[in-house]
Amino acid sequence: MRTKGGLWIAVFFLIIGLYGLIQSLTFGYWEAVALPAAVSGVMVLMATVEIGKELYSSGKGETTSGELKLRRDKREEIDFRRLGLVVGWVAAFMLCIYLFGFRISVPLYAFAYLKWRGRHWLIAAVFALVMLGFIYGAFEFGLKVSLFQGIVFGAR
Amino acid sequence: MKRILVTVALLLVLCLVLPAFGCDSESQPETAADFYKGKTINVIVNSSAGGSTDCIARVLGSYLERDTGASVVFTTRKGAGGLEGVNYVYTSEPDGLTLGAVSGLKFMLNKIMDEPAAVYELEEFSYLTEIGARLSHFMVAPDGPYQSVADLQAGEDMILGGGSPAGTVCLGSMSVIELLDLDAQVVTGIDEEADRALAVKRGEIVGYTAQIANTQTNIDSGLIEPMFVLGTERDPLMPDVPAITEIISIAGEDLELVELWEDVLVSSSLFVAPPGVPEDRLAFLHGLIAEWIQDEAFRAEIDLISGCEEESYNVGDAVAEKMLNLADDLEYFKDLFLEMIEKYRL
Amino acid sequence: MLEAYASALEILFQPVNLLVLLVAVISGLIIGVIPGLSGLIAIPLLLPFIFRMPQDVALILVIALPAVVVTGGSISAILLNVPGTGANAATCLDGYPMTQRGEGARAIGASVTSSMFGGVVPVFFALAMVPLVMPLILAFGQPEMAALVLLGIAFMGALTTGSVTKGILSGMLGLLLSFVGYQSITGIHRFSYGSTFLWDGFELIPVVMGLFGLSEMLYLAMRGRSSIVQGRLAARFSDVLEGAKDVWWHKWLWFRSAVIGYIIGVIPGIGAEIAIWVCYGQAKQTSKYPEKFGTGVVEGVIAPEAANNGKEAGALLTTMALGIPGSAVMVILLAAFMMVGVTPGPSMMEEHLPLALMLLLGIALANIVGGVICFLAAPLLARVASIHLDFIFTVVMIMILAGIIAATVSPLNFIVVLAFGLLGLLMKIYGYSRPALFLGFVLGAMFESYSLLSVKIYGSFFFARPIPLALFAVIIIVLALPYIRGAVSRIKRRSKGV
Repeated sequence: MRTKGGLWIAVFFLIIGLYGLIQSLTFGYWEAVALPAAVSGVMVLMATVEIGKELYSSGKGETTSGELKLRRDKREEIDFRRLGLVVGWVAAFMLCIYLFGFRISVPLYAFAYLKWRGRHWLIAAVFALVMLGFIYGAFEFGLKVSLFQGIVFGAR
Repeated sequence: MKRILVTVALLLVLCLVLPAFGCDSESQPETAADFYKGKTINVIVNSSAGGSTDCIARVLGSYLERDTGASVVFTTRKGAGGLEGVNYVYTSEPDGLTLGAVSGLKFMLNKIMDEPAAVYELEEFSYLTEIGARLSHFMVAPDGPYQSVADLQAGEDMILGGGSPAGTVCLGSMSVIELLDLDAQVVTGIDEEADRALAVKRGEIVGYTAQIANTQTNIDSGLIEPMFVLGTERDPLMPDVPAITEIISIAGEDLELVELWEDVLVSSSLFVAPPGVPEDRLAFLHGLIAEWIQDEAFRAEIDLISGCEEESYNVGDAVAEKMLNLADDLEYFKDLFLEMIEKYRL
Repeated sequence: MLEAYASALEILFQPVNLLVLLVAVISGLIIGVIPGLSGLIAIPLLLPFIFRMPQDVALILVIALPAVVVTGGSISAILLNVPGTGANAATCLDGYPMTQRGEGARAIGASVTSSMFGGVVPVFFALAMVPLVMPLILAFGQPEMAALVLLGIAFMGALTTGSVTKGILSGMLGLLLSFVGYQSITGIHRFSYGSTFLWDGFELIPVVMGLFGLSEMLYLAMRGRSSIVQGRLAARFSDVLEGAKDVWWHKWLWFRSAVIGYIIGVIPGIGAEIAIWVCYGQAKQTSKYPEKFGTGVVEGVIAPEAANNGKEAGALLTTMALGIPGSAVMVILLAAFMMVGVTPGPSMMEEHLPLALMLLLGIALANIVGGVICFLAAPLLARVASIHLDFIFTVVMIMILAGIIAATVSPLNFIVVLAFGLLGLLMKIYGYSRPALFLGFVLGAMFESYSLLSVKIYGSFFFARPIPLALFAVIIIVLALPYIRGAVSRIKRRSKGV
């Protein structure tokens, strides 16, 4: 087997393909069924081939062009801990915006993230205020785009 | 750690306090006019930026700002075929600060076709004004093989064009087939006006229904020309184009269908507020709109956008009455349209 | 004709008009740089004021601003891997790796020069093209459009080498995602379960932000990188000039891409995405070193940037000459024209020729001014990539989310951007092709619509027409070219006895 992660992502494609195929057959009109079913069918086929490669291949690093090439002597693995932390920050920021809006979340996130990363509190605070000013200057005053106010403050 | 907490707390306080400077004072406003001063009016537009409803809304918005002292912000919510915007306005706080600029045709058609995602009720909205009453015309190629109703009736296996099956263009085209008893079907899925006009010019479709003001540039480019009006009277924009009732004799249910297209399913820009807006604020807005309609500069700006020399206006109760009348007939027209879709969709 | 040109230049070079043009260009560049923003948000703001402006001032404002948005968008695509607009997505593939190598200034130089001339040169062919525009547009019916979109899809193959199955899987997933939502032909909802949020499918902005921008930020943060730049930073003016010279050394590539973009722009209904990916794909196919594409080759920046500016120029020609808007931005421009009493169409070119010329020359001038501004700012801008990732990550996250709200209004799209960000990250690590997914996503529903309409109108053999057959031949060549080149190089090696 090449990599566990590679296998799992191939399985993910297989599941999506199967789901697409089964769902598309329920659409009724042939116009609605044709292409989704065909595409899903190809996905199922290719995902099966890829799973086979992942399970039985010797493990030479393959990649597609258009991405950074993997070095053959060092497989890229996911640092789940680090990734979890970063995604946690992103998700927390999104949730904060949803709840409290940009006005509160932007400076709060900017300050808290930079402090967590070990920056001096003054730099973090100044940067947070600059970001708040930029967001309001560019979006609310410049483009008259109403930024989300947060459901706590009545936005929908 | 203490410093972090203090700074976060300070920032939070700032963020919570600052907005208060923009807030209203605690005391109740004396009049509707006082209420709007310094507030923000959010106009929800349920169609694409640059469309006639959007442009008209922005003109109205500039006059609103001038005469109310409020600042007007526009938000485009055109998702779900415009339903997102209408539903949003319908369920908004009825304080008079959220208004909707919606396409009148789609607004009504969604209820006629009993669209499950349309949570609003026609008779419950607060209506401000309806601008425009653009009739539907049947468009054909200027140099094509079908130049008259007789040509259409003699044609075989014809294909007319439309967008989505329950959309206005499609239903308009299907209505033409029904009224003229044509040997034709409607191909659905040609969503853009320009694409339909080009399809006519190429000979891919025989024609489709559209409003003059929405397709003037396609007419000027020689892609299409109107053959007749889907109505009982001629359109002032094109006085040489006959009404369908001048060409063939129409009575009974067919005449009701024609009158539906002429009186109700006209393309317009509708300005609405959520149900339950206080009467005094509604009356204030109605009064402003009535004043603007008397203003030549305002009318000139609207006419320029709509392409009409003399745009038509309905204010307040007149619009509400129209919607109430339509609400009574929804079921009948829904069955009729569903039958046509089943019969004429290619 | 000469008199008309002279009159046009006289109007354009009035001090007030030049000032307005400068303000519009700077605004357009800033809007382009901020992800998620585009002319669609900025131009409508101007509409109520247009009535009260002199006609030429109003028109210069609405023409100049969107003309440079994609130029500004290339900056964030190159420096941060966050495309400023959907039309800059292809620029990320090679522009960003160049930045990582410390060659961001060179990439910006190449991009800006390519954009500038891509937006200027076609303008001078515009008048000659006017009699050809209508026949060209009329020649492209449903079958021809289906074949053209299929050509775009075929370039998925050009975007993926090495693992064919992974490339196909990526593209197929993109196609499947494009089918989510309301299908206009049947009136039914697919894969959306009655949700109004998914009624129109996934929106383009959150998908492209997540797939390219967020995934890259997650990757860098996960790897603990301290900055985007991994090599020595070369951010002097001479490095920017180096990029400009690259456009000269690849002038035929630039010309080909600008022409392809221009022709695609003239035909309404074909988005910028086809233009940029077709041009990126043909740049790779015709390159001596196709395997290096995606690792930071300057041709991968020149081709799509020439195409997206050429496309804007073509769309404008169709809008002005025929009154047929070629894109959502053109719809707004059309409205602006009408509001100042100018009706685009054949009559405009006949009765208001000086005005039409002024607008065309205005676009050219806007592209030049925008190019010069970006050129001068490039050394400073390129240094952004060397700022510590802590700050970059913060800024990019805020800009992505604010841009998504500005473009789509709905905070539910945060979930979409996060989901595509994670998907993009996994695809990057395990060797799947994000460009192929994106291309499938953009083109899938379009191809379905044109091909179904073709079947309904023309029957099952709708493709038996000259243009579709010619395009199919091109598709076969595109797909076969890598194998042909491989075979030729093997034969050459054998004949040399290697």
